[in-house]
Amino acid sequence: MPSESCGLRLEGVSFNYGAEPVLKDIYLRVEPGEMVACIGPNGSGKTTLLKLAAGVLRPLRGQVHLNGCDMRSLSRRHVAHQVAVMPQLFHIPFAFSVSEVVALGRTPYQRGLAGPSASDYLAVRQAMAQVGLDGLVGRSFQELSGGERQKAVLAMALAQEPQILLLDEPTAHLDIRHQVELLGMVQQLNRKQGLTVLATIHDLNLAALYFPRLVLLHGGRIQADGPPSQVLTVETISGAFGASVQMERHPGGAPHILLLP
Amino acid sequence: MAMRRYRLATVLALLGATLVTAMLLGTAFGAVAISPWTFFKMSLGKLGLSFSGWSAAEETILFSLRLPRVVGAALVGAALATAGVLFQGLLRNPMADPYIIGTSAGAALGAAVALILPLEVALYGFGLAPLLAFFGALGAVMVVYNLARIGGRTPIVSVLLAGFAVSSLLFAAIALLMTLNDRLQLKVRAVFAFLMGGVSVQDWRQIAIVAPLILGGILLARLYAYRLNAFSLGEEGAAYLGIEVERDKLVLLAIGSLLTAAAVSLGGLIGFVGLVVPHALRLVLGPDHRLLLPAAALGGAAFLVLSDLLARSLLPPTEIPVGIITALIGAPVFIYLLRRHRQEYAF
Repeated sequence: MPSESCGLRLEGVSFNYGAEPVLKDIYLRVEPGEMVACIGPNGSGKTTLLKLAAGVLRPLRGQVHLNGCDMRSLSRRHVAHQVAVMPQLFHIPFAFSVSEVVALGRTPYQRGLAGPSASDYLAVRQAMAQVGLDGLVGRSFQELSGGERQKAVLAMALAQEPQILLLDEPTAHLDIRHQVELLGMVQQLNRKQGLTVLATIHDLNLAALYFPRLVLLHGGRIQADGPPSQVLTVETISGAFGASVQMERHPGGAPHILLLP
Repeated sequence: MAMRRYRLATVLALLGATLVTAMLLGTAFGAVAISPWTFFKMSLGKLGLSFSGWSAAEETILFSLRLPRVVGAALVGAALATAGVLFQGLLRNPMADPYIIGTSAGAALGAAVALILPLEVALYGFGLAPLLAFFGALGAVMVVYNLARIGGRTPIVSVLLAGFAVSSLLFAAIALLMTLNDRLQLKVRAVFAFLMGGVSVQDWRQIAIVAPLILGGILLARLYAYRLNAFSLGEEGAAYLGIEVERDKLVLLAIGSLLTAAAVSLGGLIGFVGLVVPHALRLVLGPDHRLLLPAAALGGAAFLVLSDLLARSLLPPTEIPVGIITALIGAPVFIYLLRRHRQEYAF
């Protein structure tokens, strides 16, 4: 497949909730192997953008292309073979074990009466190893801590063996150690396996540390798109968030935002 | 992997053996006891082998009265427990039972209307009441589904709420009919019997119609088991896993409603089976629907066959409504399981 038709492309996408426009004429390309964070204030349409990219919402206008195909022409099963989503922490009723939850990631590969195949079990084991949950196989999902749960949900998404991973606020509700652990894992997957990553993230400093490309959404439009040093400036941030900030440098070189309340 | 297959086979073999034992007991005992040995000889006799040593009355009791009823009870139990698993899984609601989205109210109103109409109808052994109960159940679900449908989507919460509203309305109508029974010549006792539940099979032809419906529904449900697992994550989570949410939800609701309507046509409104059998088995076996669905079908069948046996043999000649027995046995068994599995029952 020619490289220009690969990855994820939003072409002039608009979306409304009711009469309320959320996204207006968005053009966004995420190339294979990129790691992109979508930032912006509450209600700026970050999660909506992610759901459009996952194909569970249909754009009002414009098109979403996955590897060169119009999303509307693809079945959910086909999309789930290529795109996995790690949603915000959710409630799972029933006492599923950790490995059973991870195995739900194999749903798009199941058929009728047949049980899970050898490759399903292999993918589940690998996904659990990748997030370091090998030791918790038989534990009940509901007994896990918030950090472990989030890893299990990441493992579920990885068990889908996707090319593209979409993360919705993966670090919300996590302590700083787990934030670093989780984003570190995602970064490794991106660098070593070429997994394409598009995440929404609230914490601007974390976004600057882990993501080479940031997309700033505000008022339903992309206000800035580029490396953190370009996107995170006093003007763009105070413009989008309406907060007074000062720019510093993280010892690693990334921009670091200080709030001036 | 081998462990899982082994476990699946063991559990299903155990439950299958329980069902067969329950059906043998159900056939042997009743107002007249007929030993399994006589039953065995009679069966061989039916197959053309020359055996003897029983009366024509015994043969009639066994093959025309008791056996169809035992088979009917097994089918109804299997259908209710399967529908219970489907609705609990799909609606992610521990209080969901086969009747939660309006089937019970629709069926009850259908039966009540049938018992007012001065009509004698018999279709393949079905009287007017089971027929109208069947179609009432399906009709109520269709109304509920369409009420819950907004702009091409049918959110699960809306299905639950619409189910509650429609059920309330229909039960109010039934209560009104029963209040006016003097004028309407309503057979209140018959309505009461329907509401309490009781397996009644007059004719093998009824089994011939209901059995394919129920067995087909159970097989179809099992085909959707992995999708039901994905629905544990909610509708959005299921969509991310490649589930066509609206289509599969409609299929699952339709299977559950058809199973319930088929059960109602043979057994009236038998409570508790569809609620407690799935919960009890989930406690013991875990929540994977690929195992839970067939296990619930077998377990529900065995449970209702035994309950029906007790219903007709505890206080002869009075027949206790089987819904009372299912609650009297089911509740303590469930409480025991709940207490034994000390960890909190997670739903």
